[in-house]
Amino acid sequence: MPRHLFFPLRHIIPIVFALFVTACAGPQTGEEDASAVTGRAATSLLARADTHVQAGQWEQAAALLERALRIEPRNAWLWHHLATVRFRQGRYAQAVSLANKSNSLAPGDTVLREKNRRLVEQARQAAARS
Amino acid sequence: MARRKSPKPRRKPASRRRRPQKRRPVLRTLLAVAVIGFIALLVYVAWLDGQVRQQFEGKRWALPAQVYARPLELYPGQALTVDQLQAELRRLGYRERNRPHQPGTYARLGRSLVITTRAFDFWDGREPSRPLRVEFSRRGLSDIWRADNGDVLDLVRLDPPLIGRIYPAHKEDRVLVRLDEVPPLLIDALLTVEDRDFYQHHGVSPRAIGRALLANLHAGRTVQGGSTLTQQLVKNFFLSSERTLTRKLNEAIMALLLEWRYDKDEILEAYLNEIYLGQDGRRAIHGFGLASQFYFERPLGQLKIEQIALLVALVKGPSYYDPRRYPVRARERRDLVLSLMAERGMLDSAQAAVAREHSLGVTPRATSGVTRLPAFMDLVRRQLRRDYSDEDLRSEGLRIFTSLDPEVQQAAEAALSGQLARLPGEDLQGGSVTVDVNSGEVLAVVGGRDPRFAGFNRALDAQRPIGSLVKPAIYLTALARGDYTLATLLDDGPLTLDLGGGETWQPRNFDHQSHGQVPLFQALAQSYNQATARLGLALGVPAVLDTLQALGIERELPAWPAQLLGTASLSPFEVAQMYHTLAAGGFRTPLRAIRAVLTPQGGPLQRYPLEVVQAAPALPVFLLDAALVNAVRHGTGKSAYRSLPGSLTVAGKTGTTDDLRDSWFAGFSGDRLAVVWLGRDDNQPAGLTGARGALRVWADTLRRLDVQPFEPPAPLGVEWVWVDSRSGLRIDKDCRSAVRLPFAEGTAPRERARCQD
Repeated sequence: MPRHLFFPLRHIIPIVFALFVTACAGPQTGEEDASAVTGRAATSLLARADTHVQAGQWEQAAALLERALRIEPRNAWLWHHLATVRFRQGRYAQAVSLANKSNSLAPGDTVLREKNRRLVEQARQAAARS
Repeated sequence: MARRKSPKPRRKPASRRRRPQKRRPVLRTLLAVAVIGFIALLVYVAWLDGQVRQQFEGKRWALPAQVYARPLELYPGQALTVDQLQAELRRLGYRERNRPHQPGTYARLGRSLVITTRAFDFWDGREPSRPLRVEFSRRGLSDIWRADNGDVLDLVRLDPPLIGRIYPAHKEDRVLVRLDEVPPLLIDALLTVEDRDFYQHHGVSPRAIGRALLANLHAGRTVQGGSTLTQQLVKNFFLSSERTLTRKLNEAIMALLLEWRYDKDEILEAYLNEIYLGQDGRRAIHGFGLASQFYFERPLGQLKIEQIALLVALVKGPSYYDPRRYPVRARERRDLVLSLMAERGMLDSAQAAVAREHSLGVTPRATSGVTRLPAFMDLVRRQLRRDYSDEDLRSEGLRIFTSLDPEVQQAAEAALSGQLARLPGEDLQGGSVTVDVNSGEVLAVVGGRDPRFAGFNRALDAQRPIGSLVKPAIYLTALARGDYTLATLLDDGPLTLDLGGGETWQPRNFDHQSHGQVPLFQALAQSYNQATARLGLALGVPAVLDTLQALGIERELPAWPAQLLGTASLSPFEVAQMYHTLAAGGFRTPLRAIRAVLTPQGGPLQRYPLEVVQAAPALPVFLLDAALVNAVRHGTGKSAYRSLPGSLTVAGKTGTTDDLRDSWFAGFSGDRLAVVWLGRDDNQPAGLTGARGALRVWADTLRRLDVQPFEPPAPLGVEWVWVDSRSGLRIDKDCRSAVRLPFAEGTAPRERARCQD
């Protein structure tokens, strides 16, 4: 039995996240996000959230991301994903707040901070337009 | 009464109008008046009909809503012990089996568990039944795989524990019973005593009225009522004991209307669930189902003959015959009921004699509510009523998913009851709220020293002056301005404020001393009133109130200076909202007890999404939190470390009010926030400071849980500096007075103090 699988499967994250990002027209960055430290449980929820994102089922995606956040509440990437879902729903104020929350948990993660910065910017612009 | 005994025929006015008698104007006027009067009466009756139907329909429920605690998620890497998982399985009613192949069974093999889970439909999908093998290491849950094919599983969600059944549209607890669940003996006895002609009359019984009239004339006072069950039911709907003739008349009309609209069994069932049968503090006991729990702590179906007779006896006057307060009276009346039952052949005389020999059989104290978690259920009910329409809440068989964590609830209850038992004063009471820092979900609510008692819910309803718990809002206001740092010196000298009109305000320190110039973080840690009040006045009371509002205090607070010392009266729940924002780095999340509500068909009625609002900028909140960590480590909260391990970093603040009436503590670890209040319901001095009372409960709660340290990531632009706690200057870290504190870059003190050790 594979007892060594106790640690996060880091190689899954870039794949899952790439799927996620391509599904979201919002923040566009090409780089891989291997820096995210996401455990297996949260990763599997993220993957399921992604299928809902692809189908445009935002609330289902959000519910799964919240579930993932209960498991890894300090995971700044999960907060970012939730921010992205809210952005896609047109809930711009929440998107901004959640992106800020993500930033507050990732002071040293320049990649993620840049994504959050762009998301906030786009959300503000979109909010101003609507 | 006899005049309006039967409903009026409707055709009459029309047929008369067709043949007006023109030659007699007086008669015509009379007729017109009669017609108008009659129409008015019809309108009035229709209005009464609407009223009584609304009441009747509103009180008919069949299936209660089922309320669930949070489901336990299982995943590798989780901090969960094998014993904790086994405890959860027991809560869920899983049975231990040698071969756990059936859903809802398990086997324990040393450090691992083999479980066949139950399938469950959640709001976000179905969790199938699966055979699992769950392995634990010293660090927690290490692996999960399928017991049948060895597949590795990343995440499994167990079904959630059922924690109660409620009628969310009702304000109070109910135990509703269907007619076929009620012992026939009870119904027979009830009809014999209260309304013998129930199945014959039309809502009002002239025979009963006549009988009562005779009896009352004979006795010279009111000894017997002539009301039918239907009339009593109507009376209960409108909860008025007024005995005017109009009232009686209205009741009679409504009784007739009810009988016209509903059949006898429906009316009887409503009566059984509605009739008032006792009082438990503020809580009215309605219905035989709840009364059975209230007096005997058992369901209606399990009552003995004499217990049934007692409940029937109580209908006449629940307070006059209160079996706990007036056992002699209650027993006399019960025995009378037993005699009547024997007379009518419901019991043989031997049975009746045996029943009469028995004592009343009521439990000594009315401790038991319907649910084991009355305080938490109260919160659930309030949030439901706030967020859903009555119509939605009336749907039958809703499923309500809450955030209650049974383990946290148990810890909070044990800590409150345990510490209160150790503190002096039987009248000492308390309440606490425990919240998940990350999600803002409410994990536990304790409403008093007896957590099973469904009375006054202190966690939500005790509104008490918060004292020094207000101070973080003042210091945050200062830190957010940018010109204050944690080391800024504040003047703790005496101060007098002229309020005008010859009135002055003179805040005093708790120790009646002044401490000269003190660094800001130290003034908070030691909770100096003079330094804080002066700071607050410099910032302006409105600015402080704005901060309080941003942190989540919704109540309007008047902008007078005394607010700076915490004269605002808040409930522990409101304080929890405020401190949650501080614990969550300045992000405010409305505290939620409900995750989702599903209809019986599985469709979501509504989900409660996670919402955050940035209430305060991250950097000053980070600085303030560091000061609150210091307040527990070195300040008024340091006795927390009598029960907490020194390695656990936590943050918090004590609160004490005038004459030691209120003892507060609000504080958090990295994952749990708890607010505790202790005091007396009559607002007399409790004789406890925040540290000697509430803090002990708080620390004991956290000690019982496996909590994470409070170690938030530092925002960009923060530097840490060792500071002298006396002068606020830089100092060597090996000095005894040295404290390590964060500063916004470039704002740390430059000057160095000499070590005075």
